[in-house]
Amino acid sequence: MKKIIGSLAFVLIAVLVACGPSQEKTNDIKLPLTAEGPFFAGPTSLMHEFKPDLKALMGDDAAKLKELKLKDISVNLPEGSPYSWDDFTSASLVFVSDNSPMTSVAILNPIKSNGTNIVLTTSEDADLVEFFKEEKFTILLDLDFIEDIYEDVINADLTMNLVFKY
Amino acid sequence: MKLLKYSFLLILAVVISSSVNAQDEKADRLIGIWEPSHGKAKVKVEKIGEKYYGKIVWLREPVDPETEKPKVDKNNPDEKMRSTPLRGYRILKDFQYTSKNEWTEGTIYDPENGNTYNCIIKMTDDNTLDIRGYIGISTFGRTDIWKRLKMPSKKKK
Repeated sequence: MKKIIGSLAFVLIAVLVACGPSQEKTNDIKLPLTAEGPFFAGPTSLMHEFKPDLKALMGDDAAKLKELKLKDISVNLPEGSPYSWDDFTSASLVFVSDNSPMTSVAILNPIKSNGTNIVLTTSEDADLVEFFKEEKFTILLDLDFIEDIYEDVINADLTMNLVFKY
Repeated sequence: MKLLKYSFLLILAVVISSSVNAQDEKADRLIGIWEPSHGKAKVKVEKIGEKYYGKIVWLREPVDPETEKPKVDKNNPDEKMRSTPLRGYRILKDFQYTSKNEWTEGTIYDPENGNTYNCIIKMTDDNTLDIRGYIGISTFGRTDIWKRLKMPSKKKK
């Protein structure tokens, strides 16, 4: 009896391992984020409407995608900007779409930067497969402004390092 | 005959378009700043894409007495996201207007315990919301009444 239970458990584990993702690819995506001012003290969102192309990112393996996680996220302010990271207390990145629940994917609080670049801490739980299967979704960078900034536009460049498991 | 056909199509397009606009206007009444009954926070509802989201824009006690720093989402189930500031946090997510002054399919997050509940929003009048949070079936839940924050009108000189 013990032997049978042991064999069944072995088979079950083997099946689970076989069903799980076994290969992975990483890819960098760079996107511009923008918001229109004037900006008042408190949280404001910089946005980008993204149209994912899984075929371009993964080639023929796109159909096999099982898990998609963010490994690294960095945000750059353009050189010569009239504002700097010292103007903001925190930054968080959120994905929004019409068909998937809003998902918080990364945070940096408080902001620490020596220059034009910040690196956010990524979520362990957020799986982005459903977002990348959609025609489009919105990426929001929520910045918490310390004071009012009277600019027409604020721009930033987002770099996401993604891990595709299949 | 052709003219009659085109006129009919034009009228149909206008009727459909105005009906869609009216539906959008009804749905957008949720946009604004709302105050829950406990008075500890104010929540700004905005539209992103086709859905509605509400974020905390004001806290009666913005500083955590333990850390003496601005409050963060310390009960988030995802440990790595616990430094997210509560001011700016979206506690209402993914609401869609159905009909009969109701927004459904959304969730409400309680930062005091880190739990997320299914939620239905019902507008009982232009300045009052019934916010019903529940797990599983809406019968077993709790309703809170939120009031719209009215901006003080400017006095004419």
